[in-house]
Parts: sequence; C-alpha cells; structure tokens
Amino acid sequence: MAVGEEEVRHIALLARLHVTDQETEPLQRHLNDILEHFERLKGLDLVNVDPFAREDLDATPWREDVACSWEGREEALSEAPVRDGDFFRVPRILEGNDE
Amino acid sequence: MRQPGSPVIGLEIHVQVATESKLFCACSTDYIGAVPNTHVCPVCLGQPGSLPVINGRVVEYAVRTALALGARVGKSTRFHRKNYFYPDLPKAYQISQYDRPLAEGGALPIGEGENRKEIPITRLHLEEDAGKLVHSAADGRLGHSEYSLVDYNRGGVPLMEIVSEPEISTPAEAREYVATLRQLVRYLGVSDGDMEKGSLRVDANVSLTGADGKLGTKVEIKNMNSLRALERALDYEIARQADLIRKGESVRQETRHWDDGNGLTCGTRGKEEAHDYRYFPEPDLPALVLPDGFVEKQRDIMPEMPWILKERFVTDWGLSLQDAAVLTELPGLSRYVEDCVREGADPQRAANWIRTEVLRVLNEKRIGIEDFGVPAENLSPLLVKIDRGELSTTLAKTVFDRMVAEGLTALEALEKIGAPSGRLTGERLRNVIERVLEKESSAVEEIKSGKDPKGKKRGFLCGQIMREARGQADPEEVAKTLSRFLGC
Repeated sequence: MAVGEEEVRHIALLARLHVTDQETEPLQRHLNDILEHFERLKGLDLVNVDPFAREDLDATPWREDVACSWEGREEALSEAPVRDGDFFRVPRILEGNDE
Repeated sequence: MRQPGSPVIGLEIHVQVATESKLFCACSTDYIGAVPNTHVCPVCLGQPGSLPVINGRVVEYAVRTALALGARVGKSTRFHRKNYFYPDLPKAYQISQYDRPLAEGGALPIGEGENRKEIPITRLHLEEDAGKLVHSAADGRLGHSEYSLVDYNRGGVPLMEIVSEPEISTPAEAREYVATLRQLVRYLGVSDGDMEKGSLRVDANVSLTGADGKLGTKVEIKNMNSLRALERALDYEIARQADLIRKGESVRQETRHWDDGNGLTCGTRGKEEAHDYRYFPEPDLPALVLPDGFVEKQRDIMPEMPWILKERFVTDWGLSLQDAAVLTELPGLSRYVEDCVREGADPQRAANWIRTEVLRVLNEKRIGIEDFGVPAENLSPLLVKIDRGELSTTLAKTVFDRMVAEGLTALEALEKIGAPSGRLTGERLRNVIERVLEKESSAVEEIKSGKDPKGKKRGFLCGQIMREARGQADPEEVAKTLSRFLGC
C-alpha cells in the first residue's frame, strides 16, 4: 500500500496544510516510508492476539460524575499563540455557512 | 414500494446528557452564561500527555435511553477518533463511536390509533461536543470577520447521538418523532431536551423517491432550533427538491443550513471532499466494557415510558387522548396528576382542573410544576369538595387563587375567605333538607321501606342537599340531620 501524489494533496487538504508542488514529492516519500514500516508489522504472526485493545477487561474503569475546576486556566490562555481576553483567538475561518 | 416523489426523512439527533462533569474529564458542563474558557483542563484542551477517562453517569444515562428505545446494548463497544481540523476541536479530532456504537436497533413509537407508527432506530452512540466559535466582525457574520474567538467551555460535554432509519414520511411525523424523543429523555431524566438552548439538536436527511421507486439524492439540513423550525425547514426542502426534479435538474448531495428568519435552506460551499474523517480506534481509551448486571440494573430503575403512561391515563381513567397527551408531556406534570388522584381526587376532575387552572398559573408565572406552590396533597381536597358538591366551581376557583397566592391548604383558604361563616346549620339547614326531601319523595319512600341496603339513595340525597346548600354545609351534620328526618 503506497500513497500517490493525489492522495498526498487530499490528506494535506484534510489537515488544512498548504503544500506546494515542490513539497508534495518529499511528503509522499515520508508517508510511504511510514506505511512501509507498518507493512513490515503486518508480517508478524498475530493470529491469537485480540485486535481490540484491552478487551480482556471485566469492566472499564470509569469516573464518578463529579465536577471540579482546574487551576491552570490562566496558564493555558497565556500559552495561546494569540490570546484575546478570555478567548483563544484563531485566524479567520474560511469554511461554513457564510463563506 | 414508495411512491415516486414521496419524501424520505431520517433524523440524527444530538442530545446533551445531563451530567455535572464532561464526558472525559472533570470540568463542569455548566457552560451557558459562564465566563469563556473557565471550564477547561488539559484533557478538554487537548494538551499532550493528558488522558481521557469516561464519566460513568454518561454510560448509565445512555444505556437507559437505549433500553427505553428497545435497542440492543453492546456488552463491549469502543471509541474512535473522528479527525477534522477546525478550531472548535483543540485535539483536531472528536472522540466518537464508529463501528461499535453503544447500542443498535430499537424503535420510537409515534402517533395515535390509526396513525401509530414505529420509527426504527439505527444506532445510539456517545461522543464529545465541540467548543464554540465567536465571530468578531461587527455584523456577527463569519465571512466578514478578521478572526474568530474560541471558547472551549462546551468542548467535551457529553452527547448521545441517536440516528433514525430513513422511515419518516412527512415533516409532521418528523416533528412528532422529535417531540416524542424529547419527552422520553425528559422522563428518563437524562437531558433537559431544550432545543433553544441547544441541548437537543436535530439534523435531517431528506430525499425524494425517484421515478424508479429508489431513494433519491439526500440533502442534510442543519440549524433547526425548534420543532416549528424543523417542520418548516423540511417543508421548504421537500418543495425545493420537488421543484428541481420537475425542472429536470438534479439534486446535489450537500449540507444546507436552515435560515429561520428568511424561511429557506441555503447551501454551504464547503467541499464534500472534506467529509473524510479518517476514523481510527481511540488508543487512549480502553474498550467500553459494561460490568456484569449493569444493563439489568439500569432496566430495573427505568421509569414508566410516557407513551405507556398516556395510554394508561386513557384506559384506566377514561381521559380523552388530548387530556392524556397534555398531562404526560412533562414528567413533573404527570406525577402531579397521579399524586392528586392518589390523594383521592377524581381523575377527570383533576385533569380538567390541572389543564385549566394549574397550567394557567404556571404560564402566568412562567414556572414549571416543580416550583408550583400548591402541592398535590393540598389541591386534592379542594377537588374532592367540588365533586361532593360542597363547593361550587366558582367558589373553588377563588379558594384556589388564595391557595396559590398565600401558599395555603384548601381548608385554610376556605377559612380566610370566610366561607365557614356562611355555613348552613340548624334551622337553615333543616329548611334545605325539607325542600330536598319534598322534591325527592320517591327516594325517601324507598329508603323508608328498606329498599336501599347499600345506602346509595341516602348518598344521593346527601349530595342533593349539599348542592342545594351550595357547598356551605358540613357533610357530617347533613348526614346526621337527614337520618333524623328519615327516622332511620
């Protein structure tokens, strides 16, 4: 399984990345290197291994429904590329209804 | 086979689950009116290294909803990542369910009598809500804004997505389906079901059957914030598609937004290519395995389904369907009626009184039955007095208003109004009894000759006397005085 140039452009679009023609070829190579690695993993004998992570559980551990607030809010906001008062500011969005 | 041109509607409904904390972290779900980005933490902000842990109550509530719909609950299900890049999702994926949803199958019954229909359910799954974008342009329009502001308070709030099969045939049916589902989640106590607040969001898939009887191209409609908007949007969309087909044009597969102000749906120019979510299993969460006995335990604590309750009100109490529908619309109201009847009120009397008087007060005060100042155990004695003829309806209304205004019991209100002072006793009561006995002489004869072993006639006479006395006599005194008159 290898990705072609078209698929690289499609994935770039999904990831909202602007990829130039010059960048497409190296990206395609990188992605195919990764996929090749997974192809190698496919060669492992996993016949008796459950494909579903932790399905051996008798029951999934879960949380009580109790709300508590986090103290790090200021820190999170101040780490934002652009903070705008109580908000995170992001670039204008080019999709949706009003475009 | 469907008739060519007939509408085919399927609904996807997102229901916000009424929990204190979010689906995968302990942040509060109380986002309405909150200062932006105050209910956030590393998990719902998608910080590297943070790990989600599922909220047990969400699982309980979702299982209860699934059981109410008669769906099959999976013993072991799992979560997937739905990948898309948009600023309302800080992780760039939404944790949702894909190939193994929490529940599959089941149906929701809608309509009455001949129009009764079961709308089959495809699936019910859990997922997290996204954050909210606030647009900065002065006119509030996205297209004109320089940038957007993000508030993640809503991000990670638990949602149940309930998907119906495309077996809804008319906008009216769609409306009824949503109304019934809303009523259900309210009865189960799993959501407030408020469409305007966004706790219940409806997306509709609509297509028209082709000339060959096959399904046409479907269009998804979003942004309908009320039952009325849903019905209007579907009416509009069906007409729009029919028009396209009549003109020989084709319907484009797309997502359209309902514009309530202008009464039309408009297309988005987003590329359909973008609907490629690259789902894969969420590696940060183990499989969702329900403990042994969990589903059974949820089944045991299920309340009576509203549609069954409605039927019971009709068959057991002889209420009209319309009365039963109004009284079972909200769980609090149906409990109130049941409490009144348990306290001795006649069901029809209780139904009439609640529909007219109680609902009038609730509407005037803009409150729910939960905040109503007259508990069922206070209203019931008043209704009993009307039925016994001890109070005229007019006087009862005055008493009731007093009870509402001052939080009194029926007896306290009666005393305050001064009704007891006008009570018929002694000579005046004897006069009334004489008048009634003269008029009902045949009943008197029957009683005297022992033809009234069960006391029915005697009861009838007491009732007539109370009526004549306009409810202003003491029933015990009436009974005693009557016995003296009859000599037995």
